Amino acid sequence: MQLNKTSLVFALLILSFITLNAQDYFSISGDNQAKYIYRVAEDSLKNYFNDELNLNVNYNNLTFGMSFKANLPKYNQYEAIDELRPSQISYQWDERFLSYDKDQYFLQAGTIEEAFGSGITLRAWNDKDNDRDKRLDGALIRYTPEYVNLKIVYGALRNDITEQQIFKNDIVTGVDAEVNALPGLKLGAGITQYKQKEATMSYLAYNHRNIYSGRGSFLNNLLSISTEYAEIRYEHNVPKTHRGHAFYNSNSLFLDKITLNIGYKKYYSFNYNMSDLPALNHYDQLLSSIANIKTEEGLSGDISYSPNFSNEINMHYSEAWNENFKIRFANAFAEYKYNADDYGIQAEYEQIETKNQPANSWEKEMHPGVTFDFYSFAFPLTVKGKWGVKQQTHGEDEITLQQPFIQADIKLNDLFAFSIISEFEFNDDKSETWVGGELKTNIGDHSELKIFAGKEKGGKVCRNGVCKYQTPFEGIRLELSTNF
Amino acid sequence: MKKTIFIVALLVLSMSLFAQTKKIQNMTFEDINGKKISTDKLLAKGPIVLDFWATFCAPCMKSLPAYNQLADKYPNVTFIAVSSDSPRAKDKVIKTVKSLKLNMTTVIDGNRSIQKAFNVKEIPETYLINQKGEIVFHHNGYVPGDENKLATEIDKVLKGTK
Repeated sequence: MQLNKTSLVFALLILSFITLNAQDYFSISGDNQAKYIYRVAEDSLKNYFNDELNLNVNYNNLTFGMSFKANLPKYNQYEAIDELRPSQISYQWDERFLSYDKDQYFLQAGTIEEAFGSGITLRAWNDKDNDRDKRLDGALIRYTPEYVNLKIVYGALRNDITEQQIFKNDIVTGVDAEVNALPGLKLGAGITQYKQKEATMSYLAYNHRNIYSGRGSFLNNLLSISTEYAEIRYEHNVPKTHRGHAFYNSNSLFLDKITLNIGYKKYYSFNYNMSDLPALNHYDQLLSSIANIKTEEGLSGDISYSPNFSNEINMHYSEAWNENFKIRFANAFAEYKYNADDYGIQAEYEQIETKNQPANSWEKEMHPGVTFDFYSFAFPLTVKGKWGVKQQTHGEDEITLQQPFIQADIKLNDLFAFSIISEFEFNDDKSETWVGGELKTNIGDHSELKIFAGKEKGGKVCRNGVCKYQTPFEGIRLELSTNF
Repeated sequence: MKKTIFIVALLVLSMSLFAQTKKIQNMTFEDINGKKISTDKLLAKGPIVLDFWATFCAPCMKSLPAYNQLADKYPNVTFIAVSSDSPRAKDKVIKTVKSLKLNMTTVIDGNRSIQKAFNVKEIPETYLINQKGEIVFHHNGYVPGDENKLATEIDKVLKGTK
């Protein structure tokens, strides 16, 4: 009986959606990703299903958006095997919002993603690189007449972003304004308050922070200059030393065939969850990810040379250091691209070096690589190869790891694309292998099927002509994506 | 609950079966030069091509110059390159656009509002929108030669057959 009632309700909903969808002022769009996963790991239940439904319902200027995820069973790699149940379902509303967008006004309530400027002052987003959801549940107002951008944000951090479980429901309030002062010249300023609801740290620590920021940028055909400064003040009777600041500057010169860039950064005691600081290096890594530091300072330089459509050379060098130069980071990158009618070649080299004197550790990574594209084959083929070398010294211990990588993408026809990926990591003591293959095919105009089998390291993955984030995985994965 | 999830999945699949041509709602955003853009105003002049890309995406670095050439070939079509890079990479986006000498309008989708409106999960992803606001062509990924498919679809839209 229950099933019949539910079926009737959904059938009526389907008919309603179809009818309403025929109206010009009403539309539904979204996508659904259904996955079947066979997980090889010994401490898992092997078979998993999950579904992610993203929906946007638009009615005139109103939009309701949602993202719903369901897992059967719920997957938790840290849970004991005895606790796992194949019939255990988990589901969550990953995102829900209602927005109104008309002319210069935009209002949204629900899940909020927003940034002020470059993100130094505030960035509310889902940080998939670090598996930290920094989105807010709250409200957002944007007012954007011709020469002005005004944003007001109020919300609570929707998820905890640390293992200590102390930051959930922290409150963020922010106002940001930017004006187009002159052609190419923008000036902006903002104030953000980050308030912790529960002071779980010692009484000497702060309860909330106020962040004041200003920025300016200029862009025309010859120059690009961007500067941002933010000051953070920790409130509630803390000493003056509990103030921090962040300064970032980037300048580019665009000549006919050459582009030059220099950049500078200095972050002092800028400890703030909702900030997204520019790394100012090609590897996109902050010094604070290496060690606990108070000051991060750095310089970078880039040169790009494109004499014609067929050739392109890019070079980058950057360094960062802490207040006493005992923690340092250096990044060098160079690439050459050649494009002919029938083929393309890309050669690149990247080197990363980190030094942590107090911890007596040093690391160096070298990543030479080459990519070949063959366009005019019967089946367009891309072959990419890299050989990384990672040297680490911690005290008296020295480790050298070899990290070869090879990937081949082939498009069989307009329907099928296949990619095979092999990654290895080995030295005299250990070795690890990630080998996998993915087949992709279109089903009709609205659906796509992907089948992956093997093992992959995860991260930002580019294969079969697309790039996306992928979590580490071993097993078989079938993924059916439908757009509507 | 399992039955409910199953029925919701059926609902979604049935919606895709009955998928009518998707129409976009008016969107307003700002390009890297600070110019405000309204899709309704652009569509009044001609079709729009939206291409989602990022500086870390190798296929995108191949698709952008190819679509830039199409932008020169079809002056009545507005090509908009939507960068899904984070706001902290704004200077890197500008450097890339300038060094590739892109003539396309470039937008940095720092709060992901445009990506969410189009449900973009992978990049590059390309949409062709006719003057009625209907998405008439959608392509996921890029291999050299894909720009010819887009050109064919643009020709159909300009002739009024799509």
